[in-house]
Amino acid sequence: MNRIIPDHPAHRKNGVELYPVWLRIWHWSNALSFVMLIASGVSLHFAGSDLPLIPFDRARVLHNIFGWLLLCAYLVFVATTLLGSNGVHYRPQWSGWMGRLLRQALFYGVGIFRGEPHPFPATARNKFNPLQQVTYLGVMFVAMPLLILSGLLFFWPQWVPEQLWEMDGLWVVGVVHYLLGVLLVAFMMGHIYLATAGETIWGEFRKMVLGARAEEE
Amino acid sequence: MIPIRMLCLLLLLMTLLASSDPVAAADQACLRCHGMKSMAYQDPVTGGLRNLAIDPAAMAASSHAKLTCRACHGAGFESFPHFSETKKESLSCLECHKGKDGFPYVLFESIEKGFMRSVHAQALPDRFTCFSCHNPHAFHGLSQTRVRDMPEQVRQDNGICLNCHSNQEQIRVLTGRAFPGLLNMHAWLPDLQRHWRTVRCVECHTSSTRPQDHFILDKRFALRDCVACHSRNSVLLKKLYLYRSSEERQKAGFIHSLVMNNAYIIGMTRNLWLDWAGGLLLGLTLLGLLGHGMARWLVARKGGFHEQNHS
Ligand code: HEC
Ligand code: HEC
Ligand code: HEC
Ligand code: HEC
Ligand code: HEC
Ligand code: HEC
Ligand code: HEC
Repeated sequence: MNRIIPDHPAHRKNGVELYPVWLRIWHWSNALSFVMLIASGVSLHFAGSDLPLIPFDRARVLHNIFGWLLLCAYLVFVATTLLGSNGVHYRPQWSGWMGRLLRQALFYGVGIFRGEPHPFPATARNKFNPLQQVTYLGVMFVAMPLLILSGLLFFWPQWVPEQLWEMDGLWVVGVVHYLLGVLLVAFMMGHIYLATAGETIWGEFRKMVLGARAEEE
Repeated sequence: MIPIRMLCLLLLLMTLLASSDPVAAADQACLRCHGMKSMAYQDPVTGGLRNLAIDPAAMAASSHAKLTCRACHGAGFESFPHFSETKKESLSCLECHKGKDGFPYVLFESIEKGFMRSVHAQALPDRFTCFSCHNPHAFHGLSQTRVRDMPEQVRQDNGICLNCHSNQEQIRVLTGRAFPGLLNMHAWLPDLQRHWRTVRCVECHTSSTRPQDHFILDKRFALRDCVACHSRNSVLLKKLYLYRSSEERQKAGFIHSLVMNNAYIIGMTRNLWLDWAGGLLLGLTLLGLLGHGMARWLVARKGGFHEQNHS
C-alpha cells in the first residue's frame, strides 16, 4: 500500500523523484530565509525591549538580504509552477474536495492515533494531501505574495499612498506585513510538526534531504 | 465722469486688495511695497542683496499670523522713507514674548540658554541670532502643528538647517570655510532622504531628553543609535511627537491608535493589541501541536503507534 520508496541506489531506476535536487535546495533556502527573517524581523519589531535581539542596523541588513532571497525563491516557484511540471501538485481537484479534506482532517484527529495508514499518500502526480494542498495554495498564492509585496513597499515607501482608509498608508502596509508574518510563522510551526507525522517521525525530513521516489501510475 | 487715470488706480487698488486677502487690511499699506516679490536692494556696506519681500501667504500660515506688521515694527515705518532711528531698533523674540502665555516664557528662556551654548553661538557669537534660523514672517511652531501637517512641519524645520548646510555659499559667507561632507557624514543612516523627510535634524543634533532643545551639539555627540528612535519609548515621543503624544494619551485605545497614527516607525508605533493577538495565535498553535504530539507519543507508548507497523 505504501508507494513511497526511500531513495536507494537499488531503486533509482524505477519511480519518479518526488523531491528533485533543485526542489530540495529551494525548500531549504526557504527554511533558512524564514528562520533569518523571523529572527531579524522580531529584532526590528521589538527593538529596544528586553528580549535578546540582533542589533537594529544589523537586523535591518539581514532582513533585507533574506527578504530578497525569499523573493528570488518565490519567483522560482512561480516559474516552475506556471511553466514547469511542479504545478500539478497545486491544481486542486474540485469534485469531492470537501470530503477528502475531511478525511485528511479526520486522519490527523483520530486515525493517526490508531495507526491507520495515511489516506492520501504522495504520488508523482499528487504529492500533497488535501489539507496540505489548501494550506499551500493559501500560503503560496495569497499570503506570500502579499507578504513580499508589503515588504517591497517598505523599500519604496514613495509608492505607498499617503492615506489608506483614513489611516497612514505606510502604517497599513506595516501592520499587514506584521500580521502576515505572524500567520506564516504559525504555518511554519504546523508545517514542521506535521513533517513528524509522516510514515515515521524523521521520514519526511530525510526525504527532503535525500529525496524520495514514487512509482509511476 | 471719472477721469480715466483715476479708474486705473482704483482697479489697481482693488486687485491688490483681492490678491493679498489673508492679511489684515492694516498691513496693506506696508505690503504695497513689501508684498512685491522683487523687493530687494543692494546693501551699500556688504554689497550683498538684501531681500525685503514678505510673502503674505507664508505670514498667514505662521505662528505670527494674527499680528499686524505694526505690532512688531515701530511707527517710524509708516512713512516713507522710513525713519532711520526706527530701523536701529532691534526686536528680540524674548523681549516680546515676556508675559504672553500662548507659549510659556520659561520655555523661551530655556531655549535662549540652549542656543547660547550651541555650536553656532559658540563658533559665531556675533553673527548668529534667533533670526539666523527663524524668519518671524514665516516660522510656524511645532506646538501649533496638527497631526496631519507633521510632514510639512518637518520640511520647514529641516529647511531651516539645510538653508545653510546644503548651501556652501551661505556657509562660506559666515565662516570663510566650506563643509562639503553633509551627505557623507550621514551615509550611515539608511534611506537618508526618507529619514530627513520624517525626522528633524534637531532630533539627532540636540541632546535627546529635552523638548525644544536649542543646544545643538558638536557633531561628535550627535545621535546615531537607531534604537533611540526605533523603540517604544522612542526619543521622538519627547521631541517631534511631544504634542501629539499627549493628545494621544488622552484617547488611548485600539481604534484610536489605528486612526491616529500618521507614520509607521519600525519599533516605535507597534500596536500592543496586535502584538498580543499575534502572541496569542502563536501560543495557541504551539499548544495545539504540543498536545497532538503528546497524544501521539502516549498512544505510541501503549503500543498502538503505527511506526511499529513498519519496523
Ligand atoms: C513706498 C514703499 C514702502 C512702504 C509703503 C513701506 N516700506 Fe518698508 N521699506 C521700503 C524700502 C524701499 C526699504 C529699504 C530702504 C530702507 O531701509 O529705508 C524698506 C525697508 C523696510 C524695513 C527694513 C529696515 C532695515 O533696513 O532693517 C522694514 C522692517 C520695513 N521696511 C517695514 C515696513 C513696514 C512695517 C511698513 C508698513 C507700516 C513699510 N515698511 C512700508 C519701502 C516701503
Ligand atoms: C512677530 C513680529 C513681526 C511681524 C508681525 C512682522 N515682522 Fe517684519 N520683522 C520682524 C523682525 C524681528 C525682523 C528682523 C529680522 C532680522 O533681523 O533678520 C523683521 C524684518 C522685516 C523686514 C526686513 C527684511 C528682513 O526680512 O530682514 C521687513 C521688510 C519686514 N520685516 C516687513 C514686515 C511686514 C511688511 C510685515 C507685515 C506683513 C511684518 N514685517 C510683520 C518681526 C516682525
Ligand atoms: C514684536 C513681538 C514679537 C516678536 C519679536 C516675536 N514674537 Fe512670537 N509672538 C508674538 C505674539 C503677540 C504672539 C501671539 C500670537 C497669537 O496669539 O496668535 C506670538 C506667538 C508666537 C508663537 C506661537 C505661540 C503659541 O501660541 O503657541 C511662537 C512659536 C512664536 N511666537 C515664536 C517666536 C520666535 C521664535 C520669535 C523670534 C524669532 C518671535 N516669536 C518673535 C510676538 C512676538
Ligand atoms: C540653529 C537654528 C536655530 C536657532 C539659532 C534658533 N532656533 Fe528656534 N528653532 C529651530 C528649529 C529647527 C526649531 C523647530 C524645532 C522645535 O520646534 O523644537 C525651532 C523652534 C523654536 C520654537 C518653537 C518651539 C515649538 O515647539 O513650537 C521657538 C519658540 C524657538 N525656536 C525660539 C527660538 C529663540 C528664542 C531663539 C534665539 C534664542 C531661537 N529659537 C534660535 C532652530 C533654531
Ligand atoms: C545661518 C546658517 C546656519 C543655519 C541656519 C544652521 N547652521 Fe549649523 N552651522 C553653520 C555654520 C557656519 C557652522 C560652522 C560653525 C563653525 O565655524 O564651526 C555650523 C556648524 C554646525 C554643526 C557642527 C559641525 C561640527 O563640525 O561639529 C552642526 C552639528 C550643525 N551646524 C547643525 C545644524 C542644525 C541641526 C541646524 C538646524 C537646526 C543648523 N546647523 C542650522 C551654519 C548654520
Ligand atoms: C539620525 C540622526 C541624524 C539626523 C536626522 C541628522 N543628523 Fe547630522 N549628523 C548625525 C551624526 C551622528 C553626525 C556625525 C557623523 C560623524 O561624525 O561621522 C552628523 C553630522 C552632521 C554635521 C557635521 C558635518 C561636517 O561636515 O562636519 C552637520 C552639519 C549635520 N550633521 C547637519 C545635519 C542636518 C542639517 C540635518 C537635517 C537635514 C541632520 N544633520 C540630520 C546625525 C544625524
Ligand atoms: C531620529 C530618529 C531616527 C533614528 C536615529 C533612526 N531612524 Fe529610522 N526611521 C525614523 C522614522 C521617523 C522613520 C519612519 C519613516 C517613514 O515614515 O517612512 C524611520 C524609518 C526607517 C526605516 C524604514 C524606511 C522606509 O523605507 O520606510 C528603516 C529601514 C530605518 N528607519 C532604519 C534605521 C536604521 C538602521 C537606523 C540606525 C542606523 C535608524 N533608522 C535610525 C527615525 C529614526
